[in-house]
Amino acid sequence: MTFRGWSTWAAAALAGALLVGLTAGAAAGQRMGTEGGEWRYWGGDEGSSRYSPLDQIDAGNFESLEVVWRWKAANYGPQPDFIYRATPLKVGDKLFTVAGSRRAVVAIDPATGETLWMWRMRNNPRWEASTRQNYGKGVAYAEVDGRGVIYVITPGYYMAALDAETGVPIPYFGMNGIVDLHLGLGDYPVDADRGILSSGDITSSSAPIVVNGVIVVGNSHDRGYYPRRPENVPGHIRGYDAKTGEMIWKFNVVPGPGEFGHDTWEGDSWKYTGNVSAWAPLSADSELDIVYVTTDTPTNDYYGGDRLGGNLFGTSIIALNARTGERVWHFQMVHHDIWNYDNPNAPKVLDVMQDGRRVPMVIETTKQGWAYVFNRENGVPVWPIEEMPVPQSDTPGERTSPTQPFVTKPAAFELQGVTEDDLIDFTPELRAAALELAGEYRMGPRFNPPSLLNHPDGTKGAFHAPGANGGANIPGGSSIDPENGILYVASQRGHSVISLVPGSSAQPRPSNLCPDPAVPCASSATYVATGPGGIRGPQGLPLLKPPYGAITAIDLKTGDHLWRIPNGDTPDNIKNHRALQGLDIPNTGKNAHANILTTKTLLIYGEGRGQEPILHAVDKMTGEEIGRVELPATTNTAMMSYMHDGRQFIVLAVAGAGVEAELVALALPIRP
Amino acid sequence: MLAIATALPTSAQEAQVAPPSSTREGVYTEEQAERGKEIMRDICAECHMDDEFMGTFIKSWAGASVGDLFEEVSTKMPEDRPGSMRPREYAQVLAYIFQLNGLPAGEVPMSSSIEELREIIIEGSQG
Repeated sequence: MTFRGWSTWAAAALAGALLVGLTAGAAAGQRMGTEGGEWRYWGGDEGSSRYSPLDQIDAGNFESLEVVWRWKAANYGPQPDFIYRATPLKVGDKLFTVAGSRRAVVAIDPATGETLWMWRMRNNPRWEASTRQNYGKGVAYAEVDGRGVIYVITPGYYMAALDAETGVPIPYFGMNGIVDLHLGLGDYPVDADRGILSSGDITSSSAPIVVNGVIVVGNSHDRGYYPRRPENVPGHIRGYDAKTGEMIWKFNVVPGPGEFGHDTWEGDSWKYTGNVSAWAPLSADSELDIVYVTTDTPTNDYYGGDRLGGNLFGTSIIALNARTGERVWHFQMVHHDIWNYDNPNAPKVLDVMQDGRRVPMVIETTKQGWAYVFNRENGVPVWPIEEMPVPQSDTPGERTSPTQPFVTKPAAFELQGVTEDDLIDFTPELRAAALELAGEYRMGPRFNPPSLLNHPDGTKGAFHAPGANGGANIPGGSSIDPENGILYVASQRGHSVISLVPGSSAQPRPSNLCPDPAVPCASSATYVATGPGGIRGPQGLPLLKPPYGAITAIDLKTGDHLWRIPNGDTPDNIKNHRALQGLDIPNTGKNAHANILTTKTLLIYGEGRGQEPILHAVDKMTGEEIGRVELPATTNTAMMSYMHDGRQFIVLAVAGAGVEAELVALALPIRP
Repeated sequence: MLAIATALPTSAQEAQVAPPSSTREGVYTEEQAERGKEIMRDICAECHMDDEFMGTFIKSWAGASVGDLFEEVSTKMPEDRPGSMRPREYAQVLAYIFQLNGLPAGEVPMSSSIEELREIIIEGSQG
């Protein structure tokens, strides 16, 4: 901790006030990311820019950053959290975030890291049964009748409203500050003894978003790789009054009779299919009064024979009127999704000048390795998205969509499909071994459909790329520079190999997910996948050529890629691999989603889950590395930045194997 | 004192059979695999069926060391609680995976020291 002399302190505060004033001036009338040195939403601003216009930390001083405080999250919950995914808000003189599997809400002093208050929901069976105790990402903030209110969705799927000053539940919101989000969801059977849904599961790991006095609530579910059954609860989207907690509207993500999209569900599949959750954080344009919701795959990530049809609004972006819940427009990224291509990121909202014309954009960066760019007012793609024929499934009972939407621009930022040319070729021996391994499965282009583990043709499953851990995803996400109209996206080179087995022969799932011990917990779905992962290459090396993780800069004025850099340096397990000694291997980057933040002058990134504890600064226009500083532990999710008392801070969550979750705050030293 | 303490195990080791250098030489015990099966059922099966770890899995890792695989699993899994199991539990999971792939059990339990496990090379049950 640096000693802060009085005069220096005052001078820094004055400089900060001037800086904030200038920033606000530049932002007038435009969407310029966060404002006033704050970070009021999970994604920075309502458009999830992850952009801070602050510039106290710059290329010249980045390497002087030092740790100012560390806040320990490990004791918030029955055991330490090793996968901390929270991004705090900064509003006024407090940070607000969540911690631990109970999703305790905390207020923290932005200057010192001192805990100011804590609230958590009393334990109940809904928490015990929650399939998303971890991964809590944060909270929402709004002002109601002049009072700051913090909203959180708990693992048990309750919503709480807390006084931002004190952490005390707001008495006139719901019942003593709590709204039960199971209520009003629909007519789904409940296990009366335990008070949990017996027809499936629903919870949330993200914060809601407040738009013009309406809290919009998303949701998430258990993993869908091999569900116990084809039935589940759909992730319907709801709007609530920010003052009273009263439910105002519901948008059915699986449309019922008479609703738009109902005819995309054959037979009775609309009655029992669930998921289609909006687990990614939400974004909004409050001037348009629109909330942008993205959804995931309908129940059973990798087999759709139990839900034939296009399956609206699965794997879609939906623009809803925030006050009424009415659909303004939608776009389905994947028809009848059987690739687990759930939309993983909060959509980016920004305005870009193209040929002298302002284009209001909303962008979703995806596991498919594509950035889908739309006019956010009407949903028209900014560059053509074309329906193209795709390979068809031969799995019994499956019927794939004959075409899928292909993004023509911007170009994909990750590998598309897997061919022999994509396999590693560090040495001829490794390449031959990689070919032999991959040859047991069906390689193919984008949208290569999953296939049987024991297929009569002798294959054991099918590749698709990017796969479950490929492309863009929530930990790294994407960030924008609204001043220059640039999108930065962190991606990972991950493929999946999906092998389907009959649900009747599926391995039982863990007992906590199978509440009735008397009933064998295999799956009643027709087919399920054995798992979501890919296969390794020879000798434990990656199967595919590098880079294994990257950051791509895309100019939204033209749709062209500006640059692409590997995520950090070649990892030790490749650099020191015995089969690669003496070879000149170019930087492969780390196989992780980099965690990125854009500021006025820098692109800043951590290497992400399980990688080196280094924070990098990069030139926004060239991708050239400007500097790096060591962190106490590896970054785990997207970070945030704010100005407090004249000092710019960067706060990031760290966690990992052997690293208990904490927040780390960095700033420049204040010299006496 | 220190010299005696370090000298004793050395002489004891000399009297023993050399530790295994390949997964074909019985690098785990039946008890470890049995416990590993329970862990797989209770924890790993949230995302993975046993089928994922049979056949191609062991072919992919052939030539790498058990320590490499141990490091990979113990730092990345379980997905939502990486590194949260005890080292001996990760060794038990590996024991079960080896058993699934027809690799023989032995009399001496598998170590949970990455450095020791780096001395054992992964080989499938058939050449």
